[in-house]
This record gives sequence, structure tokens and C-alpha cells, in this order.
Amino acid sequence: MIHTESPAAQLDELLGTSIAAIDIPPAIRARAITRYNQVAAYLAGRCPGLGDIHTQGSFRLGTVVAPVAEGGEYDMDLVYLRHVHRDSITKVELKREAGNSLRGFVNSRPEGEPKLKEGKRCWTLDYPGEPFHMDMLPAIPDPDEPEPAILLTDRELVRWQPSNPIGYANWFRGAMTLELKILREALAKTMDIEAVPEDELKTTLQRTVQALKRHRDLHFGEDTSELAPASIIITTLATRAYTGGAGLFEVVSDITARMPDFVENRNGTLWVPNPVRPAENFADRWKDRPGRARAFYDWIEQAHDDFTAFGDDLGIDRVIEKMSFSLGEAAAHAAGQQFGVKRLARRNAGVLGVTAAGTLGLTSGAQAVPRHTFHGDPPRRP
Amino acid sequence: MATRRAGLSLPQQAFALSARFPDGKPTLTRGTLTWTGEVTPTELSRTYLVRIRYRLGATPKVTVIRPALRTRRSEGLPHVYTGDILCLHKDLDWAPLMSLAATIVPWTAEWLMYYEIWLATGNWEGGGEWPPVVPSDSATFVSPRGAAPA
Repeated sequence: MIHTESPAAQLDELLGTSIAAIDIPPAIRARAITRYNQVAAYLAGRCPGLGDIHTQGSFRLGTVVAPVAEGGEYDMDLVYLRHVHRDSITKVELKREAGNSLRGFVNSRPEGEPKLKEGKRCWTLDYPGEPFHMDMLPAIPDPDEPEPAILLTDRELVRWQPSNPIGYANWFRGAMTLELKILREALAKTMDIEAVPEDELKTTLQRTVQALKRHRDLHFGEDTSELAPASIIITTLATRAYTGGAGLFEVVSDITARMPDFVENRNGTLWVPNPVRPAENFADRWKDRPGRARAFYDWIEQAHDDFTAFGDDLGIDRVIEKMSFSLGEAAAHAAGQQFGVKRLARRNAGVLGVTAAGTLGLTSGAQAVPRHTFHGDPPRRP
Repeated sequence: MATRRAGLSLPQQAFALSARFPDGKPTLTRGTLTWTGEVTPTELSRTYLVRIRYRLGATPKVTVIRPALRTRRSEGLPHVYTGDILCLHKDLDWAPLMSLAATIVPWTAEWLMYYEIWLATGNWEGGGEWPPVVPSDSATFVSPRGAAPA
């Protein structure tokens, strides 16, 4: 008895491995986390404590995507939270004191020899020779909202800007509770669950968000990035459109079809409300430039068409070529490679079988494909 | 070329092929078994009509009838002999006492899967020896077809 997979399962496999190939490589991620922990330990170890830092954005959500540009860097977004009341500090002081603390850290000659750079409202720790940098946003608790809401400064250091990145991440993770549970149970059968950090389990929602962010980066390129939809908009709409775990290909198709439905029209203004601060409109910037809304609708339709077309033509080569277009050549080629390598391993393990239709599948051992060595004449030109 | 030795007879090979791949067509003429059948290597792949020609004791020759095999720009097909005969194995991998149905057909399915991946990526993921290994004691190795290895 030969067990074969469905076309959908094989598309899921190729799509999953190609998206995994645009994720931050675990070694780089681990080094970034080590660096971030060093900053956190330094700040917490001062007396009095200089506040604490935590990740926000894609690092916290598990939706990091490799930069498209050669030599591009991963942005690790961090909140630098000072436990100070709003009435006892100005925005300028908050920014300056955060800078002083971070300068103290840099002057302590920590590993990696980071350089401190000042941004409009954030401080950046840049690690020479590393493909990542940390953007630290100074913040204080929001006295008007329950924890973990915070106040950031605006770019001009004039107004407080409410935010809640941890609340948002909790909302995002909450949407994936069931799928994470299923993933954890499946994994527990094959290995020691304690050995797998939660961060390394990836749900179909996280993979979809990563695929969409990469598609956006390729679609808009750098020249027109003014029009490209923000990651927070993509993530929010994808999460709202996500209905639970299924095959990755089906989830991507379904989410991309339904995302536009979750943009609200409030008296002529398009709204993508922040799920943890409903008064905040993530699509606020669309008001200034109507082209942005149009760009979003055109792009998501294109993304849906591109992703759903993966399985339209026969031939693994056609699937890989289409994935190259949507996710980048390196990612698609990595998926093709792993697809082949996995089946070579099956043959070498004596579990590769073939059906009456000449289709490769899995066998428990009966009629396994024997080992052999592909050979031939030297290469020639066509 | 292998020498003629004890192995499965052509009718035995034909019977085994039909048992395992009932939609294929074996024909026996003048000491040669010709089998044509469809192979769909994966659920995402095209269906290929392939032909195996086997003269008892010789190496089976596999060609793809349709769709025509394609190449990548400025690259010839990997793992083939002249005439785009698929090169599925080294001499010692196969012997006439082996069933074509259990070896050559599945190896053809594998070849076609790696071919489809190669078409897109330019890399052959099926292992094997390619380009053929040049003997280390011969700096001026010339292949049997007269072309210097690339």
C-alpha cells in the first residue's frame, strides 16, 4: 500500500518551506535576543533601575521577514519603558534620559560594541557586522488605561501618543490559541516539547502574514514604499480574516480573499481600528493620500490572485516559478530543494514507494524503491 | 553494456510491469520488450508518457515521449545519455535479474520529479554523480562521446 499526498498537501509543503526561508534565520534571531537581553540586564542592574525593555512588532509577533535588499538589516523594535508618571516627566526629558542610559550601556563596552544613534523619537543600537539593529522607543505607562498600555512621544516630542504593543501581541496570539495547541500536541508526539520554544512554532496565520509582507515588499519595491500598506494593517486585517488552522495554502487563499472586508467605512473614512485601542485608526495615513487606500486594495487583490494561482498549472517547476515571483527566488528555490531532498531521504531510508500511476509516495517497506545512482554523459549545451 | 546472463525473461518482465502498472502497454517484438506507460511523479507534476526499451541482458533505455523534455537556457539536460535517454543508474545498480517494474519505472518517476525541480532551480536534488567523475589520474580525460567534461 502506497500512501500518497494530496496536491494541496504538497502545495502546503512548498509554500511552508518557502515562507520559512524568508523568516529570520534562528542563529541571527538568537544573537539579536542575546544582545537585547544584555541591554535589559544592564538597565535593570543599575540602582535605581533605569527601566525595562521589551520587544514589540514583528519580533514579538513571530512575523519577521528577511529584508529583500542585499545587505538590508532586520529592525528589532523595542519599547524602553520607564516607570515614571506622565506628570513628572516631559517628552523631551524622557527621550534625553533614555539616551543617557543607553549611552551608559554603550560606554560600558558591552559585547558586540554597539553604536548609539539618535532618531526623531527613538534611539538605535547598531551592532557593527551584524545584520540587525535595535530601535528603542522611550515610553512610560499610560495612566489613563489599564496595563500594559503605554505612552510614546510623537516624532516632534510635543504630544504623548498612546500605544499598546504588548496588548496587541496578546490579541494576535489569542487568535491563534487553538492552532498553537494543535501544533504543540502534534509536536509533543515526535519530540520533547520543552525543547521547542514557543517562538519556533509557526501558525498558518503567522506564515500568511510573512508571505504577505514579502509579497508587499516585492510588489511595491523601494521606490513606491510611500504607498505600501503598513505591516500593522496587513497583520490586523489578516488576523481578523483568519478563521483557524487548516492547510496553509487554503488559509492564505481564504485570508487574502477576506481581508478587504475588514476595512471599515465610517462616514466616508476608511478605518482599520486597533483591536486593543478601538479609537485608534491604523489607516489614519490613508486620509492624507487617497492613493494609499487604492494601492492597498489593488495590492491585496493581486496578492490573492498570485497566491491562489500557485497550483493552477501542472509541474513542480511552474509552482516554484510562481513562488519565486511572489516570495523571491531564493525562498522558492529553497522550497524546491527541500522538496527533493526530503524525497531522496525517503528513498535512502527505504520508504519511498510508487503507485500504479507512477506517482511517488510513502510505503511501509513493501515494494520500496531501491537505491540507485543517477548518472550520465558529461553536460552539454542544448 | 552488461553481458547476457541469467535473469528474468522478457515475458516475466512484461508480466511484472502489467501487474504493477496496469495502464501501461508492454509489447514484445524480436527479442525486445517495449513498454509505454504514463508516469505522474508527484501530485503537482505533469503526466509524462515514457517508453522503456529492453533487449534481454542489455541496459534498459528510457525516453520521454511527451511532453517533450525542456532545458534551461544555456544548460543541457542533466543525467541523460545521447538521445536524451534517461540515465537512471550506474552499471552495478541494475542487473537483468531485477524487475523493471520495481526499479526502472520508479527510478524514472524520481528522475522526472528531480527534472521538474531542476527546470525551476537549476539544481539536481536527486543525488548521483554529475558531471561524471573524472578519473584523478587522468588530467586529459575525454568522455566516450569525445567531449571534454565541462
